[in-house]
Amino acid sequence: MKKLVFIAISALFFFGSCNGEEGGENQEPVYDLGSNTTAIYVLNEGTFSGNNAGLTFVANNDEVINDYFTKKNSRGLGDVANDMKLYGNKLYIVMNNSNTIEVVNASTGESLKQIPVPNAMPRQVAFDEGYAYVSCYNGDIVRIDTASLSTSITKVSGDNPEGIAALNGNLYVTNSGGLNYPNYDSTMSVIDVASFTEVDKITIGLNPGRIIPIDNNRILVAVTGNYIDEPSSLKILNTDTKAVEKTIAIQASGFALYNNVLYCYSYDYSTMETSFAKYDIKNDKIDDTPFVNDVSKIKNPYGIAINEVNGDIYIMDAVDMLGTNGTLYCFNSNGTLKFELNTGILPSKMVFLR
Amino acid sequence: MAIQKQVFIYLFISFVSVFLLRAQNDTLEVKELGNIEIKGTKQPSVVRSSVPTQVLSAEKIEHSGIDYLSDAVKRFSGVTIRDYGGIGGIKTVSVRGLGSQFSGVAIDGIAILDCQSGQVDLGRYSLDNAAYVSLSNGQASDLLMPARAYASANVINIESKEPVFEQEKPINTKVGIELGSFGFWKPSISFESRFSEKVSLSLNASHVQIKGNYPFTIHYGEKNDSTSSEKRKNADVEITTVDMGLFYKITNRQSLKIKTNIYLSERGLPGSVIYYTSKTSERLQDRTFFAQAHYTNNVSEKLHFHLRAKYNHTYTYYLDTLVLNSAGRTDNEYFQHEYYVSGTFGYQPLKNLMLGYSSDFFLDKLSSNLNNNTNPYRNNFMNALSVRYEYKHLIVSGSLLSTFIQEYTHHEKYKTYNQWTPFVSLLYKVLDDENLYARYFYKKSYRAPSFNELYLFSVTNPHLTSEKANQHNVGLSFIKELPHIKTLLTTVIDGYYNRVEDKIVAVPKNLFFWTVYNIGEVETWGIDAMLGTDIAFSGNNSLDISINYSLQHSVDRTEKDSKSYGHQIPYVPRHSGGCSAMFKNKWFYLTYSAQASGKRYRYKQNTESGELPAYMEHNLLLGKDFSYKKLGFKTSFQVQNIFDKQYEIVKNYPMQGRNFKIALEINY
Repeated sequence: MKKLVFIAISALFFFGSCNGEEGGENQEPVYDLGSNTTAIYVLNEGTFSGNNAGLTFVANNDEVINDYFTKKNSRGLGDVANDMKLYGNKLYIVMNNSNTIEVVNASTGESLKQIPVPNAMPRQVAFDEGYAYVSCYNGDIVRIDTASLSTSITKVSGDNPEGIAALNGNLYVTNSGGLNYPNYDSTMSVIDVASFTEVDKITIGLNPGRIIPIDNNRILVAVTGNYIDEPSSLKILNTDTKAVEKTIAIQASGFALYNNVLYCYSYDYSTMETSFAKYDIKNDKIDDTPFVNDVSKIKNPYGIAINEVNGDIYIMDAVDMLGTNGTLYCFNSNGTLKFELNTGILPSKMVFLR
Repeated sequence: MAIQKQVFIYLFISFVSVFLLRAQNDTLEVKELGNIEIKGTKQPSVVRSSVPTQVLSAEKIEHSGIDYLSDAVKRFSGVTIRDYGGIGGIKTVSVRGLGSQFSGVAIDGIAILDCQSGQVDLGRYSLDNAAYVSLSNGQASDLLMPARAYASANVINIESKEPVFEQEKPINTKVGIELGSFGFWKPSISFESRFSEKVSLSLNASHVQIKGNYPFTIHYGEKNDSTSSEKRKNADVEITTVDMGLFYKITNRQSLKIKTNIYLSERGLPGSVIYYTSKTSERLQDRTFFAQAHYTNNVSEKLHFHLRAKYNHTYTYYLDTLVLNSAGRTDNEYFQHEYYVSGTFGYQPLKNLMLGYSSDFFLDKLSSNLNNNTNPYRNNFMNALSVRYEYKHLIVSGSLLSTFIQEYTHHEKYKTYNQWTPFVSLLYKVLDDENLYARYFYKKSYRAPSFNELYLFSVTNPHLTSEKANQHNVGLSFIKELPHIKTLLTTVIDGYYNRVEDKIVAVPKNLFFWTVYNIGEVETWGIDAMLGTDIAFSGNNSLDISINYSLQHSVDRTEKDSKSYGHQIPYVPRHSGGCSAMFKNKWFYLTYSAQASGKRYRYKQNTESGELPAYMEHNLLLGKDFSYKKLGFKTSFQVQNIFDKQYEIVKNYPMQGRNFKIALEINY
């Protein structure tokens, strides 16, 4: 009996001590972002209800710092970071599920103001003449004075505003109707910046999303479709005629514009396959050869950004949607892999500091 | 006088069942000792069992202040509970690194199932009327159990008490009231009647109400980052339960037990804590009715027949009044029905050979008011053949279960499942004159995808198939009476290895669209150890101490070069354990218990930011049972989480801090 107890307890200690520590500390690598680039910020969206949105910061030829916002502000960003853009020296981070907008000093990483937008569910931000404009799912468009950081609000008449862009004294806001599945909205609201009121509504396509201006009278709208029989597409709208000039037959999950070329990636959730394509806007030509090598490394592309000074292509890889840390891949303009690094959860947006 | 007699009978039954361990078959015989007929519920054996079995007796349940099945199961080894906090938060169980849908939950041996989620919320089942709660890894060692009981990888069972009457007293009544922190109050009433020598009835009803606005701390970053003090909002719960049991002893050989139960609840869903914002607009309503019957016929000493049937209806209503869609709200209604029937034969052709055959049929239906409602339903056919053979010191058991499921959606046949579940076990009495046993079991089991996984996600995967689990277990168990120090010592240790394949993983595309795949592989090896001592001191004093420890090394083996390969799977702690010490004398009883868990990880990739710290919760209960004139009184005062430990089991769902409860029961 005593022998038995002894054996049992020894077994417990033996097995109990078998959980080894993970690998030791190595010299941290540094990253060359190219000339004329001071630093990059990567926005990590975080998981839904996870409170784990964050920032990844890399200064040129320096180490990567994850959880950068928390380290600089002693508090987390919040839940589901949907958008991040740079205007002047300030970062505007849109926190979809925490119902806040963080205005951050881009040089120091410290938050200048946390703007609460209770129950609004803010989505994306655009800028025009010293003001930031944030679209919100509840129909609000929040205008922020980028100097004083004071706010005012107007409303659009569509359902679940998503994308927002500014062009020629107007704001264009897509009404996705995303929370009305399967009865999505198909319209885009036009807001006159001077009066800050909705002046027009244009029909564009089912479940419209992101908008980017492509020249002085045309905008590109990503139309998501309904995931079943209406596929996604990219549409070019002429803001003078208010008509759709072109529908590009690319099913893009995300895209970036550089030198009048649209760099698109697509991820198919059923086949788990990634594909890339380029669209030359000027010559109206699609090129579906991958513009980066090592496509097989990328598990679940979640964002793309291009460094305008040197043409470096950054692909943000979510890896999986289950809380795993993402990977940031940097390819040079020829598609050769320059470096890769670990980010936070679901990296989706990037800004470059010059 | 009445109370002391009951206590005496109860203690007598407990001691007798311990001595009976040495020489009995598991469940077939009804023993009669002299003129005292043991009419209590026999607990499964923990030591003389070929599969790891853990039991919590009614006495331990009552004297430790364990109210719900989730509280009981937390104290077993190898168990990880996912508790979303408070009385209203859902509580699901995962045993030995296997997903929650691998665990079968039963009341009096008849399974409970939520066919929508495939898992059971253990926080719903009150133990007010429980004779015992047991957990068996593999399957229970009862050849007369229904076929369905062979299907799960492990089974949790609540066995209900049968009413016990004194000689000249055909009616028992009980009235109780409990009051506690955060606006908790619970009146209850119980009525038992013996109509004749053959028929008795029991009726229990209770009502629970709690505000649930317990304080907690939000941490906005790491240890030294900013925090704020909050109170849980929209966490109120109201539950009404009515339970009826009818016991008909038809003849000496035939008996019938009928049980019906109504469960009504309405609660707020406080949801996960989200930084800088709070959502208090979600509510949940639940209405469940079930009726089950169990007919037993001990045809002869060699032949036994059981017939079981059950009907279950569950209505769930989820409401959110703050949704940014055009309706401004979400109203989701779900209706579930289950019809179940089972026939079991047990035949003992030789003294040391027992055969069992059981056939079950059940129909599960789900419908809802959702856009993508497909009215799925399943016809389940289960047939099990089992055998037990004893030879000298060795008992060999084996069973084979066939499961055939036909699944329909939109009233058309959609797919079928055809599965074979084999089980084999050995029990060996190592020494002639000591109760030392060695055991081994192997089982392969399946768990079919739930209706949620198949149909509630917008992108249905028609190839979705069952998860598979292979389990191996070796163990030693030992019980010894040490009369010179009046101690009963029990110790059990098991080592196990499990492998899950085709694990069902749901991958979110965005808020509404998920896709579900069989892509996971999990490997678990672990140890469950338990030590119990029951010491009787002079002057009617007794001390019952038990300690348990679990090691669960449960890792992801899905993709070799993924970031999570070899990482501990979410929410399973590598180390966990608990202890309880129950001291009793003729004036009062005092129980101290504690549960501890090592650190866990939130995601498949184990990162520092996804780490949930270790915690330990301590509880203390002081009680006194006494009688005055013809009435019996039971009083108790309880402190849970004595040291006000702020912790989370599921990330962003804070658990209650220190809370109190006082209870009074008067019985006649």
